[in-house]
Amino acid sequence: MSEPPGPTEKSPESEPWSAQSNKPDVKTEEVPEWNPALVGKASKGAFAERIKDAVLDASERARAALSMREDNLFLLLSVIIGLFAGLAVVCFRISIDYTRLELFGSGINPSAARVVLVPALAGLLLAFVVLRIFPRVRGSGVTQTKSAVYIYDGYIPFDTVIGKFLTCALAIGSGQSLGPEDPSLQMGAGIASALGRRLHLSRERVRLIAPVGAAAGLAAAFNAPISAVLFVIEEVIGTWSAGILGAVVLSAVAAVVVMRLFLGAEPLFTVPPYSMAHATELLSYAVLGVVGGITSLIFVKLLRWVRARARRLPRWSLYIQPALAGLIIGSIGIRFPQIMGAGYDSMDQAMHGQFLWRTLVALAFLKVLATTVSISSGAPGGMFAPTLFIGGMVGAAVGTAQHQFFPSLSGSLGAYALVGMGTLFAGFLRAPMTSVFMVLEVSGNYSIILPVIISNAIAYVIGRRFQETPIFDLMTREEGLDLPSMEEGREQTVLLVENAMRKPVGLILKASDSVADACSRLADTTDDELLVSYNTGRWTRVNKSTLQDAARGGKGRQPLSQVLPSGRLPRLHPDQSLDLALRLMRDAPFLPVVHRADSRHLVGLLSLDDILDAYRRASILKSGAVE
Amino acid sequence: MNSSHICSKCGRTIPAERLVCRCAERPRQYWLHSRETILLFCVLGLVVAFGFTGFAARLYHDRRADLARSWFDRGNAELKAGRADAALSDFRTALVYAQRELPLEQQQRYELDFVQALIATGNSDQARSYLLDMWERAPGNSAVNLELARIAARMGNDADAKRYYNGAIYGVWDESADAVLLRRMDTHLELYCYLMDRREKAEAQAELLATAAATPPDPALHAEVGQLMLDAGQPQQALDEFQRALRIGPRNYEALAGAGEAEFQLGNDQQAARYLENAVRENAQQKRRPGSQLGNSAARETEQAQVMQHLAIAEASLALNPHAPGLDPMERARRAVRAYDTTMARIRSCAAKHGIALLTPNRNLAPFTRAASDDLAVAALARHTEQLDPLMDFVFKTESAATENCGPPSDPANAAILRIGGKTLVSP
Repeated sequence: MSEPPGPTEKSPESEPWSAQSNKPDVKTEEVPEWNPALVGKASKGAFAERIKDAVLDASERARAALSMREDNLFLLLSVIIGLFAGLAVVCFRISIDYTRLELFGSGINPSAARVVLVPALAGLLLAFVVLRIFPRVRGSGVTQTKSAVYIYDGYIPFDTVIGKFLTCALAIGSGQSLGPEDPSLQMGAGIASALGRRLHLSRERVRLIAPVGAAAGLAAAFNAPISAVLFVIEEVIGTWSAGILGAVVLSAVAAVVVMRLFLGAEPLFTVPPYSMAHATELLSYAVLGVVGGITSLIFVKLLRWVRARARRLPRWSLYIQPALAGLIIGSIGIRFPQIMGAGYDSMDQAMHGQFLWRTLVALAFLKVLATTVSISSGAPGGMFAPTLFIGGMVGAAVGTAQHQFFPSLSGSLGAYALVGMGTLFAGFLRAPMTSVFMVLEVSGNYSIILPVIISNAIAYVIGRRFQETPIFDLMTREEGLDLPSMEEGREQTVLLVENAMRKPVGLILKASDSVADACSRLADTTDDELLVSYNTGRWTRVNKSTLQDAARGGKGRQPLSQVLPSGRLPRLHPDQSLDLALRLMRDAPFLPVVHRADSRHLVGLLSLDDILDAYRRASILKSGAVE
Repeated sequence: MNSSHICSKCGRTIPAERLVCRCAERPRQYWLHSRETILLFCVLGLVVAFGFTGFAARLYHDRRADLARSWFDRGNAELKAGRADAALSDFRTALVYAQRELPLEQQQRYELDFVQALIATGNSDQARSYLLDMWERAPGNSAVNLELARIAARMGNDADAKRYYNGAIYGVWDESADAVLLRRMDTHLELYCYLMDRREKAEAQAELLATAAATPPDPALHAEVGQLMLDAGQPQQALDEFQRALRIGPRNYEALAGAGEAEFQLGNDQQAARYLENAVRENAQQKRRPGSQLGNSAARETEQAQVMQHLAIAEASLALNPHAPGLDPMERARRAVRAYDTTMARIRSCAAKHGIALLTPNRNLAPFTRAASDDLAVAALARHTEQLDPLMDFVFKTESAATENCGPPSDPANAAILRIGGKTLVSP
């Protein structure tokens, strides 16, 4: 067997340079011996290498110039997410409308057969698509976004976005009593999650990016950025974090800009001007709060009851549940087509007094029923629009009654409908802050704030009193997830330093005292560690033995400030949290609690034991209250 | 043969099967997967997505606008065919799509047509509620105010009707400046008619004066307002209005006839005759004009008959009035005697038909009333001019008695005598 010939023995034509893998003997770094053919090839290769290096260097330099800190990238990304989410929501809204046009025709009064059959048949298709192709799209978008944040490190599969888009467009377009806001929120979160992962953001950032997208999606769906930001903070993140607030706001604003660019700058509803006829009119809004609170309760209880029964049905029934829901909704829709779909047009009509009060009441309760069956059937879609619909109808009904009985006191009917929407939002979705700002944002009228606050607060209190767990938390728990409840989180008592500190008894030395003086007073106390205060408000501590050593070492006449080490004790104030106190405590046996106006004034002492005692007492009190 | 070697850049061994060191490849891979590249792709993706969404949105808006227009046209067709209920449904559908898709003015037009369809189908309450909503959105919209005023007028809500009419007059019309003037004037006139129907004459007349001030410079419109003033018993204001019309269009028939009528009512027979003659002449000229439709106009014919009648009366009045300035005693006496003869001819014929007793003239008037001939009577009266007034007084009383018993005179001369008498009695 002869050895395989070396490269030098081959003709250049037989071994082109482009073939990379078959060049074992070619050394790019050095040319072993003079061979005109080989040298030509090698020099060509070296030249190509140099070009390649130059290009790579240039690109590396460009990349370095473009590269940015993760904070800045996060903000830029939030704008991009907002833009993408806005575009997605615009397409989503258009798809819903096209679906409706194709399924029901362009007339507002389609034939009865169509009204009944379309939701039912579309329900069958929906069930198949949801169960077989996009199983993750079942359930609430808010819950799924929270799951992504708290369980899956911000991971939302992109097929969920596609699935939500398609199935929700079909569900809402075919008349299921659901809204587009919740899916929009989840689509925004899904887009954000995908982009965050693709950009290799840190795990913490990816976890935070989903709410950023959620805010963008919701803002575009509502055409109301402030409400969306508040909702995400109130219901998804749970805390006001400066790190994320900027990103959430940026994305929400970007999404709304896109939405307005393509679908117009008009608000969701054309709200008639509001002015309060008389201060006593506020009583009517209080009544609206009570009615809205009771309606919210009925809605929650009914939804819970029907969902519980639907879950007990055999698994095969999942394939027909959306169709059955569609059949029920279609049957109602023959007489009351307003309850089908999101129902924004009907809300607008109610706001402008185009329904009699009997119709308004009927629509409110039929919408409760229709939404309950839609959600319980597993049809994908959101609860925001139905909640607003029910609230709008209840509000308009109360307003109409007010007009009838006290015509001199009543303001505009539109104001009642609008406040009613906020009321249900507060009572049913239990997002009181969002509910207030949503009404302000949609109406563009600050003077409506008083009725909104009164009505929403009453509905919220009624909702909390008779239904402790909010609807989103209920649904989460029914799905077997244990996500943090934002409402419970908001209401957790924060223990403060003043709840744990004890009175400053014992010996407190001054930094100006001499060591000898300090030693002479040591007999008055049994404590080993003593507090020392400076005129500047600084505090430190000193050990008994340190003092005695200093006295023995001939420093008896020196002031303590010269003998003590330069360190200082952290100071606390009575209104600071115990959490902060624990962080500051480190190895100190106690910390001084000083007055905010005069840090030389000692108001208490706080030790680790004091903190633990305070927590123990608080837990005993809480368990007593629960019992 | 070991052909691996050391990389001059990173110092690592380059395996024999590799052409270049991994360190030279890594940047390329990193570049492809770097954040900056992905951001760049995101931007490109955004551009594509914007393009796609823009295209989809354009199609969507166009389709909705088309649907709005087609449903609106369909509604109008249904309305014309007398199917008001179907029209209502169509208009409602059109409004759903028109919202946010069509210009505001077009939307308002759709809404107003819908309201009119509601009214046509007897849904006045619904129409009112819809209009009130529109009014809340745009309180200064004249068209909305006008419709609300009409509904309020129909429902007998006087205060609201007046308020909305005024809102319509002084509100905003979304039309050209000329059309706005016309609409405003029409609304004034509508309010005037409403007030006249409610027998609020003083307010109506005030409204008419306001109308005159708001009338655009068009002779026909001024003539129309003048006619209304004439109807409302304001001949002097009517005359001003007709004269205004004639300054713009000196050959306007309505203005000429109206001015003649106004002068006639004011008792200015000479001016009346002049205007009325011009009106008759203008009418004849208009009839002669090729393509003129006046020959077929019954209203014009009636009007023309009245013009002719008043012209005849005015001319007779001018010919019979013995008190006209600048007449010599002979002419005065001649006119008085002719008036006496005319009146006596009528009263005799009337007395024969209705069996009424003839008035007996004063004994002092015997030389004139029982003269053998008119010439003798004229000569005698010319000599005793102090008997002119008592004679004319007897003539007026006799003519009035004839009118009372036998109806208004058909002969312009008798009518002229009544006019002269009335004027003489009224004027000091």
